[in-house]
Amino acid sequence: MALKIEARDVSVYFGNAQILHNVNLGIEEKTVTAIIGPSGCGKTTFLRTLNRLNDLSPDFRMEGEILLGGENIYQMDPIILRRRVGMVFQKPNPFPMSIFDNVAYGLRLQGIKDKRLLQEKVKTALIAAGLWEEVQNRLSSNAFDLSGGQQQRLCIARAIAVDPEVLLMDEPTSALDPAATSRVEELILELKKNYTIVLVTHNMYQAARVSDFTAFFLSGYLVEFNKTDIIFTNPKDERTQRYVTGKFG
Amino acid sequence: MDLRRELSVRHYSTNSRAEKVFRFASTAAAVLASFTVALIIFFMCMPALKALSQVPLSAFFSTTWNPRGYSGSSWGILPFIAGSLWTTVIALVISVPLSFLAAVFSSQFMSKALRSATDVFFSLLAGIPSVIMGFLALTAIAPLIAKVFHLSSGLTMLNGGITLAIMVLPTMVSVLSDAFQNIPEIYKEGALALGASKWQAAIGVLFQFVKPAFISSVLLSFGRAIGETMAVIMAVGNVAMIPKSPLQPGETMTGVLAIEMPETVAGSTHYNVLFLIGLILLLIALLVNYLSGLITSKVRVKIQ
Amino acid sequence: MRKTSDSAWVVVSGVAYFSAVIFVIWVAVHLYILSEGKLSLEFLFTNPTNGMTAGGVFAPLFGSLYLALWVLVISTPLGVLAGVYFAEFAPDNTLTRLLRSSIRTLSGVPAIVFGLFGLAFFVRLMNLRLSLLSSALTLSVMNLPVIITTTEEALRLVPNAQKEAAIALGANAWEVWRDVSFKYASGGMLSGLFLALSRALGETAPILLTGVVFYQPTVTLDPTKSFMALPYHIFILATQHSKFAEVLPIAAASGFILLIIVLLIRILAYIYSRRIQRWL
Repeated sequence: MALKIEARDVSVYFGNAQILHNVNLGIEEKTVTAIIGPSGCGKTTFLRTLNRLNDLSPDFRMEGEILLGGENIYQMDPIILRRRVGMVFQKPNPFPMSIFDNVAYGLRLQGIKDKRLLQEKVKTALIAAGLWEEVQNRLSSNAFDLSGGQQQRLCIARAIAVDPEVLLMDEPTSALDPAATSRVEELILELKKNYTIVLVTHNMYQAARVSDFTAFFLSGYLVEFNKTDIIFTNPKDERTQRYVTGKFG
Repeated sequence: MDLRRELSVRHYSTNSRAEKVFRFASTAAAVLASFTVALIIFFMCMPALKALSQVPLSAFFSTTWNPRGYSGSSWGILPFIAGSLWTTVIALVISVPLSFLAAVFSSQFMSKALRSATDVFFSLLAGIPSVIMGFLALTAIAPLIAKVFHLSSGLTMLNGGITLAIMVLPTMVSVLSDAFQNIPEIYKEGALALGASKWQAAIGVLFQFVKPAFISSVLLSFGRAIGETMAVIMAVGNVAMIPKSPLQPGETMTGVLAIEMPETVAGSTHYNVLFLIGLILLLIALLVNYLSGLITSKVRVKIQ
Repeated sequence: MRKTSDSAWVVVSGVAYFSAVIFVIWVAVHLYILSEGKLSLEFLFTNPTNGMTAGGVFAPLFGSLYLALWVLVISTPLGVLAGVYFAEFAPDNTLTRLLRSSIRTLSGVPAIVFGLFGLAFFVRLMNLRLSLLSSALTLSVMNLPVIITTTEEALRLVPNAQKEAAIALGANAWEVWRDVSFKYASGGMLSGLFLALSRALGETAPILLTGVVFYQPTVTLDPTKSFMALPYHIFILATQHSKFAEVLPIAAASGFILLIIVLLIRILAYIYSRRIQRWL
């Protein structure tokens, strides 16, 4: 299977502080890769390098390279990159617009104006995000009227509406209740048929439930990366062992 | 390779021209706006420097101002400096204690709800056009002064001072009130626990915290008062002599500029000297603002 | 003992606070009384006549409003764009600090000095002569700091999460501003514009030297001509008219109109500055 994303010797600095140290990681197409580790280990920073969102921070510096489908992401237009790599954030952040306009936003950015095409793509995205049935009759109502779990599924729909190849998810269920959390986890298992998913989570049980591969980060180092069942049942590194059996927590 | 995806993702528009224009326009606007203050100083300096070459420096230190004198012109600017100082100092003497009292009341003794209802009035007070304040000085305050002090006319430095005091009050009250509200509760409670009444707590302990804001706001108000034109013109009588008491009329720097400039021939010595007065006024205002900003930033550094 | 002196202080400071509140109301009432019934709709729409001892304030009122329109047209794009720069694009270095302090310095310049600058620069150097355009440009320069500061502050309050959501979907800086920031910041920006508007209507010193005149009976839309303005009209009537007693009611009435307009705009500015716009 082809490597969708490759990180080669990636080190990240914010000013003088080094956040990531020589990370080497290869993510396979149409799989779910979970990134786990204690708070502050650099998981979110690593995720945000994949769509160059860290570029927004003024003192950000990266060494090494990241390839998307074989291409260096710093040699492509960041706008194009972000169409190919979508992101869902920790706290649901829908725009102050209608449900329809939220999902259609990325499409409109690309210049798609045809009403029927937009409607078709919005419907497809909402179905794929498992939200269509709940909102099909109120597409023009305010996105903020939805519950937290629904808002997050809306954000997922918004991200996949532009047909990305990769979906980055930064602790997508940490702000949701258990029912909404399991809905999103089911969704991830469905979505991986079409998208490559990279999932940052502080919940090891979630990682064990939905991911095919797991990467364990500690203090900015990638300690171990392997198939999820190996990481959780027979980790090679002692630190991984300690973390997954709850000593770090 | 998923061709359908390739096409849909790469070949639609990216609106990058709009973005380039946006970035350029906003940068240009910021540079242009920042440049204007240098421009202003430059254009004040040009005629002012000419004045310095046309009139000997000692002439400015006289107390006689007579630009169109029969037997030669006198360029003494001391009356105007005196007039500006008289009105500004009186304004501060009146407004500083008043604003302090009002700010303490607002921050310590008022509920948040009531405060937000009445705070808008201070914004309105600050928004009263100076012409209206001047009209008030002329029609309401001056007659009062004349009556109280048995003068033939109430157009005096005192009138100007009172009017200016009303105009600088809102800013001072809001700065001080904010400063008082920013004091952490623990200090207030600590003072109260020691047995001090709310009022004594305010004056004794809390004042230390608001000292920088206090000084800064006094400086700001000084700058505002000395730069005020229309209200003062209508209040002080505009006689170009040094007032010996607050009950005498006088003329301020802003006043002579507003009154004499419209009648002056461009490029003449009179014109240039007026610009010199304007430059002095500008430098005083800028200095005072600079000092005020310095004090506030020193506090910010201290807090960090 | 302590209690009585304490409550005395409370009363005194309370009086100090509320006197400001009462003063605003008193000003309006005082002007209204002095206007001796001259206020009417007719007053608003007829021109001054008879050497200003009769008639209304149409020409000065129109002149002020038209001047304010020009000031907004000139200063809004410039001020808003500059505010955008400081909020979104300015790097954190010495040059930016220099630019920022220049703007802050500009806000400390006295109004009459702006008038002198306008005279030297717009009227004479740029040869715009004594005209509405010169005055509008002068007032625009004077209003830049207010607009820039309120715009920048409003933009800083836009939630980062919203901006990141747009960027993660491929929006560029312009699109982020147009689709996200502008919506959240528009209330604050509008507040700054209202403040600028209130000053454009109420200030006399900057226009005194750059284009306002006492008598210009023909109302024109031509900005290269001189114009009448309400605050200047009041000033002249109150200080330089030979028949002071006769024109006093007219001056008071004009003052009342000016005051009410300016205060209403200020109230709008205050309302908009407090509105947290989440959903438009």
